[in-house]
Amino acid sequence: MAAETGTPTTLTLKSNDDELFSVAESAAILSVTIRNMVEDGCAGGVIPLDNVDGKTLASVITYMNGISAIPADEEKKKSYRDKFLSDKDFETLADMVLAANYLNMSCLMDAVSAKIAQVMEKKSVGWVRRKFGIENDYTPEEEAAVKEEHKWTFEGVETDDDN
Amino acid sequence: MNWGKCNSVYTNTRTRPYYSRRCKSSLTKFDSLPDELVFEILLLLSPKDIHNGARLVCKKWYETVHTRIFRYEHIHRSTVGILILKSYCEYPFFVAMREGRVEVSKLRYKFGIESTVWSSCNGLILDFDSKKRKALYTLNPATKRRFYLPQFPSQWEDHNYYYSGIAYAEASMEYKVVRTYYSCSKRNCVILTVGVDESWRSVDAEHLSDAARKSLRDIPLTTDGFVHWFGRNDVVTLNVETEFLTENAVPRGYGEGLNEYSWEVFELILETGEWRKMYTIDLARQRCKIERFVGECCGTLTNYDFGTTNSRKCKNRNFGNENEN
Repeated sequence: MAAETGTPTTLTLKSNDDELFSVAESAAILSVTIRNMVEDGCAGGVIPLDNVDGKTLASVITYMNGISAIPADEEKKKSYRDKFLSDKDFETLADMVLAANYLNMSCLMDAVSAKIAQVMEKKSVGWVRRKFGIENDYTPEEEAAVKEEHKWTFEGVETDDDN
Repeated sequence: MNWGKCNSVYTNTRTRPYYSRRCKSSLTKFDSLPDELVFEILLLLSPKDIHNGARLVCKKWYETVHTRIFRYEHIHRSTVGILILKSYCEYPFFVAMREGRVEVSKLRYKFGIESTVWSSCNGLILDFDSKKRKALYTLNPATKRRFYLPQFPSQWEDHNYYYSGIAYAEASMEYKVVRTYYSCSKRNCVILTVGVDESWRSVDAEHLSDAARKSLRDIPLTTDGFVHWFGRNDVVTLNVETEFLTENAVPRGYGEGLNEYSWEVFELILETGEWRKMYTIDLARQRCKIERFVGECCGTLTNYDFGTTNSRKCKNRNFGNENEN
C-alpha cells in the first residue's frame, strides 16, 4: 500500500455538509471505501463522503487516528474502542454505525454494533421501538397472539418468585 | 427453535406481505439502517433480550430472529459452558469461560423432580417429562422455552431402556433426537427431526453385530453431529446427517491405569475404523483444587450430572473414554 512507503501522505475528506478534514492516509485507509479510492488513484484531490456529516466524520477521524496509533495489540485496541464509545449517546451510535457501514470499517462497525446491543440490554419493547423509529406493525390480535406464544413458552415451568 | 403454535399468527407466511409502515413524524437515525446492520445488531443480543424484547418489536424483527441463518449465526457466537445440576429442586449452575476467566452463574430454571436431563446440544436440553405428559421435550434454558416432541408409540414403549440424545445436523441446520428401545428381543434405534417430523422414524440397525447392538441400551454421548453408544468392546456411532449407524471396536487397552480424574482422548478415523490416541488428561494432582473450585461454585456436590450445554467446541469424532468407576 502506498501509505507504507516514503513520507506520510495526507488525504482531505469532505463531509456531506461541506466540512473539510485532513487525515493521514495510513489512518484513513482503515476505511476500505477510502482505501479502494486511494488504490484506484482517485484520492488526489478532495474525497467527498456523501453519506457522513461533519460531526460524525470528525468523530470517525478521531477514532482512525487513535486506533492506528496503537501498535498491533488487540487488547489495547479493544480498550481504546471501549473508551472511545463509552460517552456516546444512542443517536451518535446510530450515526457511527451508518458511517462505519458506508466507509466499510469493520472494526468500528463491530464495536459500535456491540455497544448498541449492550445499550439495548433489558430495555422494554417500547423503548426499542422509539429509539429505532419502528412503528408497531402488529395488529392488536397479532400482538396478543405473539404474547400468547410467549405465555406458552412458560407452560409447565415453575415461576421464579422465590428470589 | 420452532414455530410451533405461532403459526396461528400468520395463516400463510409465504404470501403475507411485508409492512414496513414507519412513523415518519418520529423518524430517527435508525430508520435508514439497512437490514444487514439490524441483523448484525440483533445477533449480538442475548437470547433473553431477543425473546423478551426484539421479537416483540415488529414483524420484521420477529421474522429476522426466526430465520435459520440467524439461529445458525447466533449459535456460533454463543458462550460454551457446562451446566451443573446439583439437585432437581435447585437452580443449576452454568460455568463458562469468558475471555480466559471462569464465570459461574445460576440458571433461573428448575427442572423439577419429574424431569430427567438426558442430553444437550448448543444450549438446548433434551429432557423427559415423566409425570404429566410422559414425553420428551427440548428446553432452551435461556428463554425457558419448552417444545414437546411427538409421543413415542406405545408399542415401542420400553421402561428399561429409554435413553435419548440430541445432536445438531449442521448441513441441514436441524436438531435431531435419537432414542433407543427394546423390542422383538432386539435393541432398536429411532430418530426424529425436531420441529419437522410428526412421528419417529426407524434407523436401520440390522447390519450391526449382536454385541454392538446390545450397546444401544446405554446412555448415548453426543458430539457435533454424532451420537455414540459405548459397549464393552464396541462403540456404535450414528451420523445424524446421514442417519447411518457404524460400529467400531473400542481402542485396545483403553481405560487401563486411569482414575476418576484422568482421561484418554482418542480420535476415531471413520474411514478406517482405527483409533488414534491423541493425549491423556491427568488431573489427579489438581484434584483438591478442582474439588475446592466446584465446592466454592456450587456447594458440596453429592449427586450431580454434567452436561455440556454447547457441544460445538467438542472436536468431531473425538471423545474421552472415562474410566468406568
